[in-house]
Amino acid sequence: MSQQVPPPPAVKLVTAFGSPFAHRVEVALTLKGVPYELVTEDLANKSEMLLTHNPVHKTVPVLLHGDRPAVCESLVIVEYVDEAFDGPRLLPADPYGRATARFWAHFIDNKCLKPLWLSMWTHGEAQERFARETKESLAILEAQLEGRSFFGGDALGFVDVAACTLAHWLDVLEEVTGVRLVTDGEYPALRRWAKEYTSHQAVKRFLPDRDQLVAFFAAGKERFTSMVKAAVQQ
Amino acid sequence: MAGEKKGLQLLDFWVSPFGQRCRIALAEKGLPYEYLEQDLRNKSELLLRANPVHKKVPVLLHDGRPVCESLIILHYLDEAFPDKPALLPSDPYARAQARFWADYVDKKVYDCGSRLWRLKGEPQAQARQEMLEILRTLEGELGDKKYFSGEAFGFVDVAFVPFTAWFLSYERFGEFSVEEVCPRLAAWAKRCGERESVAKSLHPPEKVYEFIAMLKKTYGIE
Repeated sequence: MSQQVPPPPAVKLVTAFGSPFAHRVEVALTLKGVPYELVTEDLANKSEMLLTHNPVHKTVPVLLHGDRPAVCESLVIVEYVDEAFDGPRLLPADPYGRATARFWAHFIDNKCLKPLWLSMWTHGEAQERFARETKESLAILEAQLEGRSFFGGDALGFVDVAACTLAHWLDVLEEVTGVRLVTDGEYPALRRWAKEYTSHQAVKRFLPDRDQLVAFFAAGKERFTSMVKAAVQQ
Repeated sequence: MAGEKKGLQLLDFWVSPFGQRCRIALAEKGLPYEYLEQDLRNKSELLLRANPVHKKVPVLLHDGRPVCESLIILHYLDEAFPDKPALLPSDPYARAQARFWADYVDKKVYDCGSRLWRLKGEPQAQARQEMLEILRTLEGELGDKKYFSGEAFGFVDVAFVPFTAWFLSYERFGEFSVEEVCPRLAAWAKRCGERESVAKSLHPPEKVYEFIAMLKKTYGIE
């Protein structure tokens, strides 16, 4: 007697606990209604599989679709998901709207998340500089939101997914490191947006448990501090 | 609206490899545009209105509406002018690979190159090692292909080719030869240089070297 086993999903997502970048892809796949299998990596102990599929950056997320070699870099993967599968658009249809969405996603990555991460694990003058840069960027994003529920308008889209770190990870990092970037009452539109984002039905289940996330970053303090030190020295 | 004019305008700076990407793309697509050289030490009202967030070039103005960031501009040109030859392939998987490699160029080449001419001693030696690794990685991706995109000159070629004008400077500061270390890349650079769009957009490598020398003087670097 044989049982009918359903074929495994055509899409595999290589992730790691706590990664906001992998989270972006999970949300994108869910919004498009694409079934997928999750493969979890321990980034402190990278597998051969990960290093084979992402030899250039050696990190998550990595998307495997059928027989094709990997797609890497979260925003590249999200655009791929938008284009390869049917379902609601993650990026708007019109060229100018698309350019605008890409601009803000890029801004979030380079001008917000990068200095944010660096401000958490550095000290003294360098820390002040990164904190200042992050706050300036948060103010710009705050202004961008003005009155709207999501960066994309009424519906969650590309930029919202790109900004996920600000919705769920930021205050976890602040708690673990004691670095306060957002003081009481600051960035009301962003805080409203964070509530909208984290309560969205396509997002909720993919947010790592807050207590586990706190423990994860607390356990990694030393590792993150030395990684950042090396990067900043360049 | 940032500007008032109809049609395409490009706010740019002569030696900017990011601006050159846009010039090459516009030429490849046969799109007429007005080139507006910017003084980056004394930024114009137009530039500050068009790119208030970064205050940088290049900026493409299309009927007065600004598009910023060179790779975003390349995407925009493909999407806004679909009747012109496209830089990105149509298959989503091939597009993802092209985006990945253009992103790699963005993340790695300019910064590492800057460290090569800005720094001395051990940090410079580190930058040199990194540059060799970056070039070898790109050479690996190019392989035996005519262009990064295959038979046709495409997105990744446009993203990387402006940096070929900087090879001479990297070679001098890093004390290595691109031809020796990455012969396929050197051949690809030459091949691209024969295209009219590239030849017209890139400045001679010696001019780039002079520009860096001028920057070093301005910043008081030996």
